[in-house]
Amino acid sequence: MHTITYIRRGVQILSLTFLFYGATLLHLKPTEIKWYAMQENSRQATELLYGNPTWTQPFQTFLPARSCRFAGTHGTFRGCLMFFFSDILTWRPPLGVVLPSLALVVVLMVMLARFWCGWICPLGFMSELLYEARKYLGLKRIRFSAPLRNLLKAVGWGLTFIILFSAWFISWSAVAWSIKKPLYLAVCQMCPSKLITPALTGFPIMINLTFPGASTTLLVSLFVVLVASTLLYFSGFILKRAWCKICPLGVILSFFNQGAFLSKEKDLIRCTKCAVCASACPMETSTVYEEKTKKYVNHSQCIHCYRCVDLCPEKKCLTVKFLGLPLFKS
Amino acid sequence: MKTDFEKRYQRAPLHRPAEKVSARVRAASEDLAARLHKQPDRLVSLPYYEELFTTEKRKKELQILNRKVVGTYCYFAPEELIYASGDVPIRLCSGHSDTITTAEELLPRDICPLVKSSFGFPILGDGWIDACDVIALPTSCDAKTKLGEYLADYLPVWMINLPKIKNYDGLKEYWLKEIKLFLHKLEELNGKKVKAPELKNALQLLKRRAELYRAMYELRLAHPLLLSHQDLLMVVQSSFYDDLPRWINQTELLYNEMKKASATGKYAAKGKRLMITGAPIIWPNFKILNIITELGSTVVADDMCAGHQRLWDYAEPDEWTLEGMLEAVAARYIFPSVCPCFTTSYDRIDKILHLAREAKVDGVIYHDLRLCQIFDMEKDLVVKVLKENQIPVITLHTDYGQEDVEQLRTRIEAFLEMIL
Amino acid sequence: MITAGIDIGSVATKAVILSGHFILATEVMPSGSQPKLTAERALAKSLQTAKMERNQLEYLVSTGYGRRVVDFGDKNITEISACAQGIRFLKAPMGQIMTVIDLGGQDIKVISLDERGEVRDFVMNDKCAAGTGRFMEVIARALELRLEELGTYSKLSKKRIDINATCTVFAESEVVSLLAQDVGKEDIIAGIHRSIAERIATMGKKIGLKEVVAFTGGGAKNKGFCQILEEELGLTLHIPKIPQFVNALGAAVAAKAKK
Repeated sequence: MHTITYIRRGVQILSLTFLFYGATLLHLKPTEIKWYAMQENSRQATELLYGNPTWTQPFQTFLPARSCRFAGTHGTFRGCLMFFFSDILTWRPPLGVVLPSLALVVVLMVMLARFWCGWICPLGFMSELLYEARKYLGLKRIRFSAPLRNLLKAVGWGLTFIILFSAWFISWSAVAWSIKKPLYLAVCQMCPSKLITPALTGFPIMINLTFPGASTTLLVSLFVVLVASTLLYFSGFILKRAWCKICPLGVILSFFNQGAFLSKEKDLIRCTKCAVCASACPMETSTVYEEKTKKYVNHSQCIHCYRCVDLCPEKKCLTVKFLGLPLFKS
Repeated sequence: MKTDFEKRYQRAPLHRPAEKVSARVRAASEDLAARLHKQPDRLVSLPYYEELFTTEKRKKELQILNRKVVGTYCYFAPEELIYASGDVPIRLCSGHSDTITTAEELLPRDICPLVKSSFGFPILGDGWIDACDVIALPTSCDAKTKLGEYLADYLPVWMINLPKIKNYDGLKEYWLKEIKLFLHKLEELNGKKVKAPELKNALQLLKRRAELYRAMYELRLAHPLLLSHQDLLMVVQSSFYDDLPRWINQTELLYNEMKKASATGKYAAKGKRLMITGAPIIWPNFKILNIITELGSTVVADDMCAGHQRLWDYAEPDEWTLEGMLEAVAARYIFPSVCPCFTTSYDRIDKILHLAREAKVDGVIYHDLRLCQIFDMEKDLVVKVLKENQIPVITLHTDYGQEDVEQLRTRIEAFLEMIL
Repeated sequence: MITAGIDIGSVATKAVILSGHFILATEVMPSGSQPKLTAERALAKSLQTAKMERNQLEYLVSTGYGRRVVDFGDKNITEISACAQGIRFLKAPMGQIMTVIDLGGQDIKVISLDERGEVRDFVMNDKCAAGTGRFMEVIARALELRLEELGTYSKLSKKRIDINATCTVFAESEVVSLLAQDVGKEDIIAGIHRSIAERIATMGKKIGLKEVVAFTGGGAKNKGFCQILEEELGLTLHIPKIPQFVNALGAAVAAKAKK
């Protein structure tokens, strides 16, 4: 029973191990960062805010999941998608240089959309482990109310906008360094992974509340956001996948959920509307439960964990298809 | 023992023991059992279930076991919680026509035969209600809502306030509270708290029961006469009374026999494949099924709360914490239910369309009990949609009496001739 | 080929002898308390009219409520398909018949037919005699009239009277109280007819009255009622020459095919 959940747990364990410890475990050779040159000032900023900017990973590409750079030398990938997009906006490198990485990321996004969240993202996996711990302790789950879910969605969109806008904003030469420095890679400044990943990989945690030449107000406010998002992350103990509801990377991926290669279909007449899917959904979406007119039930927030498919009591009611080929059936 | 009726105004319980009526009730069960017994090529595991209707063995056993017995009505009294508390649920919905006159001494004449028939038993001092310690009564329709006050003359009654609108976000909160309140009442009755492992055990047993029923349903799709629909309803309705683990064991034996027998190929459907939808057909009111059998056709599916729907659904919690299980129990009774007591009939229409498609039915019989307004009011849309889907449908408006058997026969026969 | 159809209704038993396209004999008698005996007698009498022997009959089909008591028949069919087949045999000058209203002794049927004349759908009254032939009989008795006279009286009505009761028994007492108020018999009868017609119209609308609509059964012999029913439905009814025998005829037609 619940085969899909078991398979998914396996994949999650493998991907966490590979993304966070892959370089060390597989003795992969680090490669040099070649594809863009850093300006001296920002190099200094990165070093102080985010540690040594010159550390290297085996794969100098990016994934649409928290293949976090703070896994340090153990990690296999350069970083996550938001990091990549921020860098592109800030440095505006020639297209030819970033094209291979960009093409890869786009292909991965279009193909799998938020499948990355449900199956690959180590941050998501760890938040599920937190949740499992609560279940083990027999403590009560809290559900997000509908207004709160909408609020979190709005916060996620706001965060994404701030991250991308600030990355572009600091590329303007007119902006003062005191603002540019703290805002460089604002995505990492506000991401709970900045604290959690190093804690797992033994990499030093770097928090700079004061920094020569930078606006302390900005640094402190970013730190407040970081604390808040980390708290939200740990509230995943009782609120299922709490952080994932505002994750900016998830926001970007959610654009691709409709029309991704992976899709979920429902046999509308077979569905008894028993609401098992709605209660099982870690993202607390209800499209799968409510939809009775269209057979495609891909909610933008769906993280493709297929818990709904796994628990659906009606045979062949829900089907996961990859390019039209059935992968899983209820 | 606590009851939901404080008895500020009293009415002395009406007792009219009548051996003649009781004898007729017994005879009705025995006649039907004898009739079912005579079916050709009947499976040998089936007589077990007949005993639950024709003998008092189980009732005696309940008295000896000294477990609290909760009498329930309808589909909505949560069995999971009763089993988890260590109590026994007995569903009191009756199909006997003989007790109706007895009940009409107190109840109005113009209410549904199911309620009247069931209420005849406490007046007679007969039947399963005798073995009950308390009654759990959901407010699924008007008659059931008001029945509580009458039953409260005899036994403590717990009303279960059933919502009428299916709405995931709001309703689950409200109905979950009602479920917890019910659990609390059970805990008070037994003087002990229900713990997660006990509830988990109950959920798993009932899931096992549902899976067993589903397996039988699938076997019957290709070989419907393995169990005539009368036999199927008998098996399903014996679960109203039987000990759950024993019923599961027996039904496993039956299922294995069915599997073996299906290989003989003797049990393919005869005549037309029909589906019955609508008001529950409860033992021994099998007149419509008997007519269909006599006319040489086969009922292959139904969507009734005392048939297919009773055993089809189960609670599927996302997490096995106490809260998670209670949520699943709450959801299981409301959302997949096709009872017309909810505001929308769409879920029921989908269910009928699905069953009609899966069981490849040639026609649908809409069974409409007189004075059951909710099934009557849903009829129009259900019939319209079925016709749009090229599924012939006939509505039969009847009650528990036998006097219209010939009219029903003409109608069903004409319907069978029509769908040629 | 010679076939026979017997329609054992709740009130009357009808027999028809059919040879190819020709109706050789029709016979009607009250069903009485021994429907089987009546059926035998009706058949014997109709054979007599047709000047034939029992062994010349090649196939016999029975229909109606007593269809199953006829053990000398070859087959039985329901009155609904019999009615459809009978009406298909008779045809109508106005065009294809798509709907049949049948007013019998204890039930009202509205049958919707498809283009081939097969039953597409039907509705019948519930187990209540209101609005049936039996109902007319009870009213006639209350008014001390013969059933056949109702039509003639009904046509004479000048004043509209509304009968509210739908139950046979209560309608009867309503009639009695109207009589006590010195209301004319003809007006009462028209009122009763209108209440039956309304009932039929509701049933008909439920199933859809596609023209041409035929009206059969014993009730169709009542011309006054036919007129009121036409007014109520707002269309012209096709009434066969032998409305009462349509079902028996249908059975005989079925016998022709089933051989």
